[in-house]
Amino acid sequence: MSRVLRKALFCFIIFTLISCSSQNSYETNSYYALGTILNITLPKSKSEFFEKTYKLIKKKEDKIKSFYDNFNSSPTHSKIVIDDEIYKLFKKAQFFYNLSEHKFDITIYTLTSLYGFPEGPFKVPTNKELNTAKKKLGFKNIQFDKNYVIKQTDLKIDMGAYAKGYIVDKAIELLKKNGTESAIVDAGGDLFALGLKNGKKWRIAIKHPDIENRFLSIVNVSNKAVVTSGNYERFFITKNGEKIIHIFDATTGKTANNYKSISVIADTTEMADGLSTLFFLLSLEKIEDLCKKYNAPTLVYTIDNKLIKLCSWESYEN
Amino acid sequence: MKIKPLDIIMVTLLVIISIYPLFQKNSGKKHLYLLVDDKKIELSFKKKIIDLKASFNKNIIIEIDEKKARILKSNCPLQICVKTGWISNCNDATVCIPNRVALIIECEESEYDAISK
Repeated sequence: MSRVLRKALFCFIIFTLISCSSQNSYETNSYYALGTILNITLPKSKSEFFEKTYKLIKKKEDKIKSFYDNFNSSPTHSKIVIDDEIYKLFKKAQFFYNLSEHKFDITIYTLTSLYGFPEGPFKVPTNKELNTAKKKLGFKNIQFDKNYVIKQTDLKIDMGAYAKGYIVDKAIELLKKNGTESAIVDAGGDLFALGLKNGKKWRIAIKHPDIENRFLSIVNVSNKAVVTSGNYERFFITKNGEKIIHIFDATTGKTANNYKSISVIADTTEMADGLSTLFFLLSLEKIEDLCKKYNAPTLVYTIDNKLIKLCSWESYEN
Repeated sequence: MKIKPLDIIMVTLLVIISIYPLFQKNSGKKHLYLLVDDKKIELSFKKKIIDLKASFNKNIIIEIDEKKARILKSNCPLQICVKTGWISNCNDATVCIPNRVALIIECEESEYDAISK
């Protein structure tokens, strides 16, 4: 072998060894939590945090769920004591309620529970049942302060549209506190991608609602949440052929089947989660106004199969 | 400088090693896993239908084809897992929460790290 080639071979081997040694390898563990499959991806060197992260998520989930149960079964006008965490979740409910011009309302569960959401079995309630529920619901019927909450009517709440995102954010916070700089916490597609993966941004694919094996988009993100709301998983079809999806407009009491899929990129999973749901209730113009205001790139796939990229979504695709 | 046959072999070898990863992109081996409660079992992509009643006491039937898998039948009320249909992409899953059963595809190499849905 010539000397030049021998040198080249030596350099190649050294380069390969250096580049291999700087590559972290990652591990993903899956758990049943937050009503879905929870996937946690961590560098192998941080694997001791799998259990810690899962336990935190489970603890928060149980706490929030037991609060709903307590609140929903409490008598009207009774004072229910809350802590700072639940107070913040109510504040967030108020924020999304105002942002959506009262269309997004956690008290809609008073009505959607009559249909059987979230777990089924499904049925179409009678008009009488629907009218009674409509009279009771409304975020304005909830009085809350830092230490207590009171419901003025016999209503029921469900914060599922953004509480899942909130819990994912808490899990990311825990990982960061423990010195993890790179991870994904993914609760069935509602996810936060922390840091970089071996120096590169994380690549997140957006599921195509109709075509298996194709994606609506693939985005590159770092320290961002990506959340999608869709009409293709939680729904049922009535005897009249109407598709009833899990997202309802509280101002009309009607199901919001205008889009097939809406994905949002945001700085927190709670925000991306809430926006992707409340955007389902708004016109494209309103969605654009809000995604600009909150710097939240959005991908909309309409009911007639149009793919619309808003607020520089495409800048995340390259 | 005189080029020897060994040089040609070495150069060819280096070129092959260098460009090999390019062809590997997204073609890393796919693994299919069945998650039942807290157990994770690897299944092979061979055409078959498996009833989980006998082995796991779950009212679920799964179907596997050469490159895809699905939950064919389930007794859960929402039927999300059945509506999900076939899964074939890396990091994709079909999940039946009430039964605590899921099918997950993991890949050694993938073009993306997670799916938002």
